[in-house]
Amino acid sequence: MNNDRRALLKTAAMAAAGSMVAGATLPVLQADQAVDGLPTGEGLEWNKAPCRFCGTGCHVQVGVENGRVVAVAGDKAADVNKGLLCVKGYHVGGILYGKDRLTRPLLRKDGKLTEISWDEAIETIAQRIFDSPDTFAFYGSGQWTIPEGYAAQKFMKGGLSNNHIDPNARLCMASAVTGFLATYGVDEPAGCYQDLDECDVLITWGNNPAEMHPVLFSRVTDRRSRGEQVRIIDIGTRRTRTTDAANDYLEMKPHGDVAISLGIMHLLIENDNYDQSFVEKHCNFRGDEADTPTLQGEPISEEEFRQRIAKYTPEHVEELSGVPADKIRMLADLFGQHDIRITSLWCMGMNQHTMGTAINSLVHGVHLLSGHFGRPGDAPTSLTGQPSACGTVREVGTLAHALPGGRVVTKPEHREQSEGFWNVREGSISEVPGYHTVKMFEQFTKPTAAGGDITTMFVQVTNPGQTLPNLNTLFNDKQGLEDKFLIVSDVYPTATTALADLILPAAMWVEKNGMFGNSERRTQQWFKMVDPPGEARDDCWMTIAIAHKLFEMGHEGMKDKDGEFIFAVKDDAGQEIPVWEFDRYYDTNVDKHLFEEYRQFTTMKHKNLAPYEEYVKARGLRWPVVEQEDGSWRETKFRFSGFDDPFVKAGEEFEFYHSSSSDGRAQIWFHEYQPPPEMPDEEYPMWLCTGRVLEHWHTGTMTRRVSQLSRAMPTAYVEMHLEDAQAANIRQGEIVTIESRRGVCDLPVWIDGRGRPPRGTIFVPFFDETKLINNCTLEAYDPFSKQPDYKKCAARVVKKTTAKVPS
Amino acid sequence: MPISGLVVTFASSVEEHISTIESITNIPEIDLGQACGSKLAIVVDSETKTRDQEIWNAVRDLPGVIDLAVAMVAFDEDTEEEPSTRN
Ligand code: SF4
Repeated sequence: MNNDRRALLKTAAMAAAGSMVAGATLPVLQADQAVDGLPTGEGLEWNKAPCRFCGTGCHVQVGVENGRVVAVAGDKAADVNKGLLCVKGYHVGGILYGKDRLTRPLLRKDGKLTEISWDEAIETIAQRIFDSPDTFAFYGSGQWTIPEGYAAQKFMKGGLSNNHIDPNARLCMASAVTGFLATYGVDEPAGCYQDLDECDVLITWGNNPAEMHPVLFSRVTDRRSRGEQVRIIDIGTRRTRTTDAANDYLEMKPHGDVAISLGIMHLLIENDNYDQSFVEKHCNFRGDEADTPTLQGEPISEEEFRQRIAKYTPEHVEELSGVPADKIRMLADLFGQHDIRITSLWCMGMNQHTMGTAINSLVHGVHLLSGHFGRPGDAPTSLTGQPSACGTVREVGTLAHALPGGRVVTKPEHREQSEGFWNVREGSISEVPGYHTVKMFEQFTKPTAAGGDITTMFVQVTNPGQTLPNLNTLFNDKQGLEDKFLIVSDVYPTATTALADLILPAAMWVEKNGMFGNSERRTQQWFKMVDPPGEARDDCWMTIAIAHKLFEMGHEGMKDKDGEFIFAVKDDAGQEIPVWEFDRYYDTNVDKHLFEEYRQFTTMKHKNLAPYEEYVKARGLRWPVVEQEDGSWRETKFRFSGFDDPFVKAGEEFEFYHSSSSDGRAQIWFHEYQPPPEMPDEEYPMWLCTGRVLEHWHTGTMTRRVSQLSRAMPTAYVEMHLEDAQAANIRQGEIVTIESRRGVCDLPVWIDGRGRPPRGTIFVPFFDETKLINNCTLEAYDPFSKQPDYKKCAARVVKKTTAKVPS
Repeated sequence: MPISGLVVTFASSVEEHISTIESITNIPEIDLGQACGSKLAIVVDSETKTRDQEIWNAVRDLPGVIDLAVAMVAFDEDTEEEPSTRN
């Protein structure tokens, strides 16, 4: 960098930081002012993109010079982050430039990875699918852009008539989806991030936003630094950085959240402190069917609800959860105050739970019963860990049972509508749900002769070799199964590519066009800014190229009803653009074509999206986005609330217009507390909990390539309580072996570190591919969401070597 | 050799954290910028990535600092990262 450029950038950095502190509140500028204050000239250009990492959806300005990303600035025009970024966002540009980027397709021949051409790679995949379309599975991601996920969904369900498509989001937010569906009849939070600016009380349920959604959390701590009162109540199984900022910390036993929510509802009813008017007007009560419980449940009377919940007295809840009875009373008293605003936040801690659907529904129930719903600051809100878990997985519906826009494969009218939008022949979509993630990998890693009926799997934009639970069963068993074929598209070598038969080098983030949907229903768009390295190519192109190869081979499913290619894109003159040829892929904006096609699906469940061009202008828009009389498009912040949601009937204060009971009401559920699937015992006396750290994003595939982040958090570790460590004569830094009934993992011990687990509990982050803690975790899953429980299983800590770092 | 514009947030008003600000001033690679309420703008211009990391960690761990956020970062060709252990 020359000195002039350095001086210029330094001035710009000072201006950018200065503007963040000026005034009492953080600025939100008009979109077209966003690049003001950022240096231009000498070829440096800025363009907007959402951050590549967590589901917060911060927007950044990306500075590009000579075909390379050279700077990143928080986007002042972005309402989500108001110009700020966390340490990961700060390094988001660096993730493109790891030295070991995958740049050529690699095929395993005689055990060795050999470079092949893209033509050979696409042909190999198409041939395997052509030969056995029913035993092919597509495993994707909440990191898929909306067009990528939509293309994969159409390819599988509309083209191949095969529903074996599921995403890694099954592992992180599936229970949130089922919780929303069971409660409101439609998925995704009603509130938005503005709730964090307006609440009086913030309750974090097994959630650590200080590390996992830091920019969101800073919106809350910022309020305090401006002298506003906001009380933070942290309910968790271990102390975290969020606890450090909390006014109250309620330490619960694993599964204690279920008992706590039941206890709050018990007291609200017992003390006649619930919001009778809200409940009478807007809610029903629901319980599990005795025989085969469903998401619909069965209606129960308020009286029946009272009877079922009667046993969850504060004392009984204390016994089940470990949280003192007076703290349960404190929570119930808070929810009993109608003049304050309460926001609940949760993420993986509540979703990765064998009672995941139940606890999600119960927390919604606490808010509904107390009437803490639908006013700014009063909201039950689930966050997502991935940038497009909402936009791509939940909205496009890239799940084994789903179709776009909230449809499901089991409903004939939904299949018919989807076939209509896709112009594919009647009956193309199979009515049988495909395999959910755990089942999909069970079937892939089981020998074909033993009934393992998935033989080819295509993994895009994710790393299941590190993230699946019980890796020894669900992933590592793939080794040696000669007839199983694993195709992995990624940007770097990973634990998954280590067992891949074919590796495809992928373009990432601003090397391609994209759209993400964040945790607050905000759809965001960006354009390609730089070329990918070597022969790396867009994931969406890969799907289209495979589809076209199948079309050429005569696969009927790849033709629409008019005999045309199902992904045909035409120019203004009606000529087809050969987008399956990579050098023609950017002759048009394929994202825009796919998005406009997908938009048709979004009105059934009132998840209306605006035209693509509106997202080009904005820093995202929260759906439903509805056209106004003057032709402009208006987003919705508070769904189901008459003052903001255009779909609520005129004059109604609230309307749950997708109510599963078809009467405009939300459901308040009762679920009986059940103990965790595996509990510590004599042999395995500790609770093992897994999770994340601030510096690394999920498996660390990207963030471990950024040396600053990697140095800041170089290795996974096991957090232990000092007394547990002393009792076992284990010292700070000593390497120990974590053992469970499923596997082992060696880790250094961290005592009194950033997270502080209570006695009897250990915590291990899963970002480190050299220490695969998921060899130990349990694949037991929630019966509704099929989401596994990574947060609690039985384990033991075994001394391995003598202490390396004296305590 | 990254250059970054950062925002330090203190637990209370900036004036109440004189000794921490002194510690920040003692880091030669840091220039102080505007302060308002509990927020202080700084720019870090360091020679190496290691030093940048050290400074980031040092500031984040100073007494009274509750948050460190980024307003802008610029980096250049020297930011190519180390290969993974799986190569
Ligand atoms: S909070 Fe999430 S989206 Fe925002 S900068 Fe950090 S990692 Fe990116």
